[in-house]
Amino acid sequence: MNAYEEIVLGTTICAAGILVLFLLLVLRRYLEEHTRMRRDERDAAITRSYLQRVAGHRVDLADGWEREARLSAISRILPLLRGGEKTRLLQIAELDGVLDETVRKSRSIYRTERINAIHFLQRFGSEACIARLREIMARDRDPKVRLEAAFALASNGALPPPRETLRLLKGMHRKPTRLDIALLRATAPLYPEQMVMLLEDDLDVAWRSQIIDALGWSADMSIIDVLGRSAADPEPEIRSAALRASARLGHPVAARWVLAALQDPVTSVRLQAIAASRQLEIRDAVPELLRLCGDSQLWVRLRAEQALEHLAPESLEAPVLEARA
Amino acid sequence: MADILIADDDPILVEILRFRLEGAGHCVTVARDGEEALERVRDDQPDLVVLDSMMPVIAGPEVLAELKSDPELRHIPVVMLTARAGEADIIAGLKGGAAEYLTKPFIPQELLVRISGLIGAAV
Amino acid sequence: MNLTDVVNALAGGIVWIAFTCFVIVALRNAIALLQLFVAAWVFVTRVRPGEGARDLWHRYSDLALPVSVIAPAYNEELSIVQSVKALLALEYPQHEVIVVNDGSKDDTLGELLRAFEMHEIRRTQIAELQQTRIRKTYGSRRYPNLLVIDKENGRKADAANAGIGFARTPLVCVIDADSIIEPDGLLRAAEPFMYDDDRLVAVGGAIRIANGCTVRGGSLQKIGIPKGMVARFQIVEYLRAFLMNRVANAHTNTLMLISGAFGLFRRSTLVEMGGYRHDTVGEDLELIVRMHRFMRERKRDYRISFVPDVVCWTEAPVSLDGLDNQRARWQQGALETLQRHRGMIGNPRYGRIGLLAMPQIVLEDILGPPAELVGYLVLPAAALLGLIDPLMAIAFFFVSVVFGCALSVGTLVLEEQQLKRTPRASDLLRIGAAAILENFGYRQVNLWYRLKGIGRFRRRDTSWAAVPRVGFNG
Repeated sequence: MNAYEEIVLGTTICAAGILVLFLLLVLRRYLEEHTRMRRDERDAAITRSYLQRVAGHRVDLADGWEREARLSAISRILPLLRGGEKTRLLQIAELDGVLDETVRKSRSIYRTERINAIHFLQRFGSEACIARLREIMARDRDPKVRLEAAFALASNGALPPPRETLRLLKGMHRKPTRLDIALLRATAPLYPEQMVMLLEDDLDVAWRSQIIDALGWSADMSIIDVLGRSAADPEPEIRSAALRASARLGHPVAARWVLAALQDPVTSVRLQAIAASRQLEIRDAVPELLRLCGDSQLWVRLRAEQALEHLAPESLEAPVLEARA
Repeated sequence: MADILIADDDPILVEILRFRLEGAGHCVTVARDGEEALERVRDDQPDLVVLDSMMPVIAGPEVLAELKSDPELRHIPVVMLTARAGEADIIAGLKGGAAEYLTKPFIPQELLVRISGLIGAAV
Repeated sequence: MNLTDVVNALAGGIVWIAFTCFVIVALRNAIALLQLFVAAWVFVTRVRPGEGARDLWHRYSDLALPVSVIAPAYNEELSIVQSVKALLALEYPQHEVIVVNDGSKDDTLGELLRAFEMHEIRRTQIAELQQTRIRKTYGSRRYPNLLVIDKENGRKADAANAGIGFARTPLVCVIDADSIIEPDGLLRAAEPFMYDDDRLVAVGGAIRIANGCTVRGGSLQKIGIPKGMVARFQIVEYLRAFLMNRVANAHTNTLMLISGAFGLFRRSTLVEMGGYRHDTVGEDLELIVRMHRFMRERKRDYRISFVPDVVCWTEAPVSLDGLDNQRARWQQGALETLQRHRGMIGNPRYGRIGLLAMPQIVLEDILGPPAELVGYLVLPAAALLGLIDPLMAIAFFFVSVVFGCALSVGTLVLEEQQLKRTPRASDLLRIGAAAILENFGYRQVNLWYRLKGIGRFRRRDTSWAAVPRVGFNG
């Protein structure tokens, strides 16, 4: 056999293989379409039996569906319901052992399977699920899977104390991403004191400023002094974060350092201060904002103008146009 | 009590609604797509319609528009129950004449209370 | 030199041509096969952003970088209002729509001003990237996140540049005015920025063909399959380009094209680069090639990413008549870009872009099409004359056509396994048939159009023939 024969043969085998695979997928789709009716009936029947049990009726369990069928029905009910009825329904389903399969999959050797299991645990959100998610977040060998578990816990309002989250995030050896910031923010209202304590650790500026930012979402007014101190930090990134957090927290005393920051030598801090004046509706900032409309930096001028449009539209007419001309 | 039409293509949702509504003593009919929903409304003249927005053949908002433009059917209250939770969708639904706009996931008890309020008002 | 020598030399030449064509075509397909494997690997190991992450994102929506959607419009009076309404309704925490009326000859501007109650406003342009004059800018009290810019007629690149210059947001999304964006397309495309540590500069997304789908009010209501074969062939082509090619290239960090129909960019990078170039018919390819060059010459750490989710739908030409112009233009654009950046080809200074990605474009766009067409003629002829092993001619047919079928069907496998955006099993089978038929005739015709593009490039043809488009009846 010469090389050309080999090429012809190889191509044919490759093409035939792919074609067979494709036809199998078409067949799968065809079967899905044709068994949908039966599957729908089955899932509807399972749903009915659960609803009856939630309502307190005794249901004959003899016709016992397989766990997989129950799981399929439950995963279709989950996105439809909320409130107490959902919680009760999930409790009953949990007693049936519907979750066992998912918990087993959350230990799979395949990362994608583990992550899919996490998504299901998150939607289910029962106590057992939270416990398993915390275990994954603390112990899974893959940091991406642990991060996914953290997201799942955050959306259930069940993150562990911040030190653990921070250790996970810092272990990834990269600059903080926006989702990391979101995780810290989700932790803040749960453990405000522990967040403040974290600031005493030896942290680099990037992470420290994110923790300060997150404090703004704690809804805990007692941390306002921490923000006030941070607003005078030598690092501009930390000053910016303190301004962002103050604006979010909405404590009126913050006006003091926001006004001072409008004169900050660093552009990004001035921009942050402008945003904070706007969010906190600090009318005393108007004269300073008008001055900033003539700032050397284009972005500062633009944002000051936008803030004035919001805070004092009447002040905008003459001086700004002159400053621009 | 009242005749209620559920127009939704998700059999699970239909099952949940049917269970709660029949439990409350209402009489439930089901339409699986927008076209069937319009037919059923014209034939049966139900007291209330629970309408999904993403349905085959004719989408929910168009069914709503059709119902509200028909003088014979305009009085039938329509409750939109949909996964579309965007501000624009909600506003469009209510402006289009929906009596209530609930988004999935929903609280069954809430739906029930709203429906009995509407039926009380309509009858 | 006697006759025998001439004949021998001629025969030697033919054999040499035959071998060269064979090698080029085989190499091209081998690369495609490799890409198919890489794409399959990416899909199998892909971690889809879960609800947990999305939930966080929605809760802290100020973390989502604000986006300006830039829609250049030229003579779109019939559809512009619907399109803009759809853009304003896109699902995204903070987005602004900037419509650039590129000196339309019809009443595009009037339609906009009336429908959105717009009045003239003053707005500072942050960077002047366009070459034509801005006439006026308009805003609306009712739609505070809409800005309309009226400018003198230029090209799409010029209009997009004008819009980019007015954007104040960290991200800009450049689209075609007639692109139908998925309601969550912007959200999906911006997702990589949530996981980003400040290196990401651009994101592309998968684009599909809207022919055969039901479109109402500027948004897609129902996915369908077009009746005409030409459109179906293009569905297969788009799947191959977006699911196989782009996914694989993005994985190896060598994505070289983000389609002009939808691209999300970091505004500051675009402004620094001076935006799109005005003097090429392939400005979208040129932009990304130049972006690689720009970042690498400045030794910056950067990333260009791609989301395989469908972000946008676009109309494709329904007949060969419109197609020939489109393909010739693409070809011409690719050649112009290669010529302008020829210094990057094979240049180790540009890392994998210079050593891998650029030579691949050369193979794909300069050597590939003529080699395959010539091969179809020369190999059978050489076999008939007894100059080469007849099996070689048969092998050539297998390598080009049969292998082409395998690749196209392979992409469909990926699609069905991962995205499942084909409505029914029967539609899937129809597309499957198109994937095979495509290799008998359509593929060859396409190669011919590309040769025409090469011709245009050599003549420095700058006329920019418009592609006739099918209208949607709403």
